[in-house]
Amino acid sequence: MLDALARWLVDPSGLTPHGFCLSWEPGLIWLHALSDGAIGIAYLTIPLALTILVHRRKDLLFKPMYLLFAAFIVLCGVDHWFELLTLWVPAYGLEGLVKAATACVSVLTTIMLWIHLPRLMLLPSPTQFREVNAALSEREQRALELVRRNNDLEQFAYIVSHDLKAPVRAIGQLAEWIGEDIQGTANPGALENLQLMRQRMVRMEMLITSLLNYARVGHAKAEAEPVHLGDLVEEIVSSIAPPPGFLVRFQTEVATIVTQRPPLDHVLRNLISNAVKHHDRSEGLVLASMRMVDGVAEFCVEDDGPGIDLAFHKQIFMIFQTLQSRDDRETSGVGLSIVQKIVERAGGRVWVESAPPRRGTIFRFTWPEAVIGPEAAGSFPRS
Amino acid sequence: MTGNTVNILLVDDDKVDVMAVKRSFRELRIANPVIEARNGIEALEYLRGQNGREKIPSPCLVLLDLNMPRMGGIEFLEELRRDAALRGTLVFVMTTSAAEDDRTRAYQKNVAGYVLKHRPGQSFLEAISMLEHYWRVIEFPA
Repeated sequence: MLDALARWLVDPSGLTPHGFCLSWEPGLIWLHALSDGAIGIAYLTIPLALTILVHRRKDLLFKPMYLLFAAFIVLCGVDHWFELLTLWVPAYGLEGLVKAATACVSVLTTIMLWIHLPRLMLLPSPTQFREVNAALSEREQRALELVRRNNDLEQFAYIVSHDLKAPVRAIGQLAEWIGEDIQGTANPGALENLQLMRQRMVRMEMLITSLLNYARVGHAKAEAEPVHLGDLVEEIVSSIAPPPGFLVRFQTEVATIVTQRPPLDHVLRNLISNAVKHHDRSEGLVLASMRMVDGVAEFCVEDDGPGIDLAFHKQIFMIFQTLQSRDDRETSGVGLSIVQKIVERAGGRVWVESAPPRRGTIFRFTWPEAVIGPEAAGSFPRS
Repeated sequence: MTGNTVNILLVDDDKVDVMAVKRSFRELRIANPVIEARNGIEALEYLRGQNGREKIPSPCLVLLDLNMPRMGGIEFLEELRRDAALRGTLVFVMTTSAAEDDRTRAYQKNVAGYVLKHRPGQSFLEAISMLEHYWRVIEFPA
């Protein structure tokens, strides 16, 4: 049985090799033999290339299609080698089987190709890719331009505020000297005006310094370090030195966080000192706290002062905006702008909650930069 | 104590700052001669007696601003410390710049002190008064 099959496959005596059909004409024989051999080699190397492509390009779409193509081409190559073989050996049975296999795989490939055709057509062409790329690089250019302009602006603010200081000081100085020189002879009005002039110079210097501080935000990048929040707030409170009637308390869910200390210090210091500074009574309570909201640190500074009208909730964060006349209270109007800039640089946001006539203002800000330190949450005594 | 009068070489391009020094001298009744130079180049010319400028006799104390046109304070110090004849000159920096970088570089060039012109809580008069005590007490390089 097996013997019969083997004979049918490779040696059906009685059949003639294909070369016979070509009358063993050497020109024809060699033309067919060399061509079939070459095609066979080519058809084996093309799938090799395809396989390498599929293997290396992890992002390739329709990978099974490539492998089907590879199988189909391999079989075609084998077909050609059998044609080469049958020039001399009448193994038509085996050749027929290989052909049948090729037929199966090629039909399968065709079916798959037609099925996938609509999706293949949707693949972006290199031209489309180029267009998208061009659009992207244009956007990138615009982003770069924006960054450059931002830097220019910061540089400008820095230079302006730095170079403006000297003449302002000089004018203040001269006003002082004039005052000293005409002390005995001038009328009181002139002296008073000189005094006002000096006061304005001091104010201008303060504004320039604040502008400089605003421009400087983010220039120095500090290393993240473990910050014990209780110690930080205690330090801030002792340096602010609130008047005797004021009490500042602090509660936290987490004792220590890892973050850049200077910017967090600046924001908390500003909010706590604002709460004390803008209080309208001689006694007050400022409650600072930190809690975790969806894994992000949220700080809060709450006071029992007069509150801030809803109409001003946006305005207070604008640079040089103050809610009181500078003659009544010497403030630059930059503090909250700096707070906002620092918080936003840290990836957080800051907002105010207050609704007079109900007393009290709550400033909240998120601080996503904070990494929760090694100490467990809640280890700090809650007061 | 040195027998000769100490000459003050004031190197500053800001006229009002120069006036401030002279005013404080007047108020503190300091009669030492003050020679004014507007930048580092002029100051070197005075110290060397070049370019038609009369050489300042020693002992001499330099009050140096940092931000000046043509040759700033730090460059002046570099030039000064390279010059074998002037290397030992006593220099006080008097500037508006509180920058750490400026301070470090100035002290690296062996200044005797770094004084801020406008320091909160300390008047300019006090600074000048301190300087006067300083030069009255110390011995100058030969």
